Amino acid sequence: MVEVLYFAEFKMITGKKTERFLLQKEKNVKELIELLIKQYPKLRNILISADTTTLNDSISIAINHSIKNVKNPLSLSLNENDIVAFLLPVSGG
Amino acid sequence: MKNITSGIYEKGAINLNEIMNSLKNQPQISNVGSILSFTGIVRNTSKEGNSVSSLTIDAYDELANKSIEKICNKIKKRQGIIDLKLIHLKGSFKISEDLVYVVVASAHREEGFKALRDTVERYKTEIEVWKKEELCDGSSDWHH
Repeated sequence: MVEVLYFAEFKMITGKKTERFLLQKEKNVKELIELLIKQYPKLRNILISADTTTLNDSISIAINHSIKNVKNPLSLSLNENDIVAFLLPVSGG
Repeated sequence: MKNITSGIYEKGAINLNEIMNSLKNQPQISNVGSILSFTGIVRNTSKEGNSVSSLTIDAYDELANKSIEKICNKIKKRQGIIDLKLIHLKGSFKISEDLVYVVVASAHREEGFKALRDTVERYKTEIEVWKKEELCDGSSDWHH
């Protein structure tokens, strides 16, 4: 199982602060996103670029409280008990 | 007197006086000639001119605290900057309520003003917090 932390729009759409998902196939970010969109279809427009299957450019991924700056974030492997967050651009008060 | 550390706090957990007092009680206070402060508060109109009724701040505490520490450490290395506190509150806020405090203690005012401005500009875009404006027409909008 991996734990997903929800912030801003993610928290509004899911109605939750956090949720656990069981990854059984590729055990990577792509599989997690597929599960998220299946459960919350409204997240598709936020997570996935229009007319493509790539992650939206505005989304950052944090794994275990560390932002991952990689070329292909969908292929990032996830391990048991990892903590994952999808982050939209920030806006300080 | 407690030493207040920069970071994310729940609304109401801390106020400007406590931050000022914390700075004034630090050992290097005799080297300080200027304490400058910035308070970000909730405005009643959005950037687009719509009437705002309230505001919500969400924060990823673990990452935001790291980013705040990074900003503070960088600015505090400057010549003449004795101490710096950056406090960002989270929760639900009414119009005119405090959202953010930046307080800079410096040897002289010139470096203090520059440090204050640079810290404000950096927190706006570098710390993992998100702002939602609830408008008077019932709609709401997260800012990015």
